[in-house]
Amino acid sequence: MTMEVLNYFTISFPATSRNESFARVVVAAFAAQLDPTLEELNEVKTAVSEAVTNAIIHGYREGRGEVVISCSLRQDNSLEVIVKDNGVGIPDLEQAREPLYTSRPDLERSGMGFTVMEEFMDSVAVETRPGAGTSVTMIKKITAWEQGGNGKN
Amino acid sequence: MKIAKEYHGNVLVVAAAGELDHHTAGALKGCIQEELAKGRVRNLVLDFTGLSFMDSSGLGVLLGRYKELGKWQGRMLVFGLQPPVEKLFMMTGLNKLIPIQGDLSACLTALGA
Repeated sequence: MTMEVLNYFTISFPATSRNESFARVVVAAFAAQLDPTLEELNEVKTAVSEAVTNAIIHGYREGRGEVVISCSLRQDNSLEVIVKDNGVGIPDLEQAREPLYTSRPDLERSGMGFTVMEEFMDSVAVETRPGAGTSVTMIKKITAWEQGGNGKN
Repeated sequence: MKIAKEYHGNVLVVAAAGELDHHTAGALKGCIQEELAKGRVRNLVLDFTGLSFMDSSGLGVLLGRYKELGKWQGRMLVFGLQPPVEKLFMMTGLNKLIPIQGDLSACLTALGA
C-alpha cells in the first residue's frame, strides 16, 4: 500500500550519545505538525531514543559511525520514522526483540528497548544484516483533532 | 542532567533533574555508586520531580542500583514522577521493584526513617 507523503526530512549525525537527545527533539518538532497530544509526542520521543541508542551501543559498539533518520508525515495523519545505521547488524533478531534480553548485561542495559518501541508506536519493523547494518521503521498514527473524543483539549 | 544528594539518616535521597537516557545514565550511576561505596546507605529514595524524560537506558541504571541495594536487602522508592516517566515505570513493571510514593515524607515514612 502506498500512502501519500505530505512532508519529510532526513538527517544524519555521528553516533555519539550526546546526539540521542538531539534526535528525539528533532523528530518531535517535526511530528508536532500533526498536532499530537503531549503523551503521543513523548511516546515518539522515547521510541526514537531507543532506536538511536541501539544504533550507537549495539550497531556501532560505541565506536565511530553515522546514524540516519528519515521521517515522513503521511496523509492518514501518521508519522513514519526510520532509524538506520551501517553497523554490525543483529545476529539473532528474534532474540533481540524479546523483553529483558540484552546482549550487553555488562553495560546494565535493561533489554527493554524494542519492547518500549513496540508499546509506544503502532508498528515496528526491523531489517538487519550482519556486517551491513540495521534499519528500524516505526509508524505511529496521530489522533486527529476533528475526530473528537480522543482526549485532545 | 542535574543531580543532588542528601541524607536522612541512612536513607540516601538522590534528586535527578533533566533527561535520563544513555548519555546521562552514567552520571547518575556514578553519583549513587560513590555514596554506596561509603557503606552508609541502607535505603535509596529517588526524587524525579525534575525529570522530564526517561527511556530504557534509565531503566537499566535503576535496575542496576536495585540489585546493588539487594545485597543488603535495602529498598528503593521513588516520588515526583512526571506522566511520561510514570508511564514507563508502569509499562515495564519497574514500579513493582521501585514503588512510587507521593512525596519525600511518604518515602521516609515507608522506610521507617
